[in-house]
Amino acid sequence: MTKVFTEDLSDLTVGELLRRWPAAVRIFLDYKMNCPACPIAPFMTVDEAAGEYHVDAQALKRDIEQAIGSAAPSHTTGERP
Amino acid sequence: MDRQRRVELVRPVGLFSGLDDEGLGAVADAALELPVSKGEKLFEQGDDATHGYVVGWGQIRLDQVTPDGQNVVLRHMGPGEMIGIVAVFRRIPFPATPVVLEDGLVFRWSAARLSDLMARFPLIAQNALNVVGGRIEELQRRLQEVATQRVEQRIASALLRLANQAGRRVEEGIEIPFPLSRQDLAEMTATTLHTVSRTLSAWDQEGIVESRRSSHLVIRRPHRLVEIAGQA
Repeated sequence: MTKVFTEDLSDLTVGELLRRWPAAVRIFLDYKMNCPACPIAPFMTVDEAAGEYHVDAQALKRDIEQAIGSAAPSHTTGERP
Repeated sequence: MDRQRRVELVRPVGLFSGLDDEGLGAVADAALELPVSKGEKLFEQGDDATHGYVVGWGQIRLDQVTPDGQNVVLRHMGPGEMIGIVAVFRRIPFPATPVVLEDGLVFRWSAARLSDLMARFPLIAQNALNVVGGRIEELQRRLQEVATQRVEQRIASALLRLANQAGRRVEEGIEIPFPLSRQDLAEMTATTLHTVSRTLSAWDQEGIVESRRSSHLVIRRPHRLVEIAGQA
């Protein structure tokens, strides 16, 4: 399983997470979090987003890891032309 | 600057996305480098569209004056974004005035050179379509906001859009790293200076933004703005 959440968690923003592992979008929506459409996703860590939505951060991260477990990271730059 | 650095600066530009080194080289060779200083205007609304531009670095605000003399801020442009290229191709006068917000550098191509480059590298035209499409989507969202959102929501949405396009994470929150006056915000959101002032003062008191201490506005509680904008 892909280990996303090592000691880097505090540095990984929601925007970066979603860019590299689009499969995680589903989990945010399941948790009723609007991060995939949010203009400040590039600036918020997963922990911060969980805090704002009053969601259990550990459960969220566990479910995200499960969702992206077999998915390869996306290699696009994500920049729109 | 040397050619290689120029190539590296045009490489990530959306308009030139997917070009190989030969294409990027041709683009870089055909460009004129223009340092620009704060307050300068690249051209005036209504001028003949003789040249197209791409921002190398810096921030530029696109202003448009309405028929009754009011100023509207259309959008902000940062590194890698194109300015005036659509007007060049449509052969219409420039529809807006780009105002330099901080010292920087732009690349400029004449209409003839842009034509040449597009003929040699059709991918450039495809990319232009994509960029313009993205801007249309943004304008449609803003139009929808003006039609359906209360003024506080529009101001919140405008700040979030700016944060998304140009924001920098700082310790206190997200900084908008160029001077943004209350008048600017009024012109971006189709409302009055009075309303913007009242709104920002209230948000300042609530700790949502820090708008008084320095010339750069800081969004201290960005998620709260997202809630106000109705996007949470």
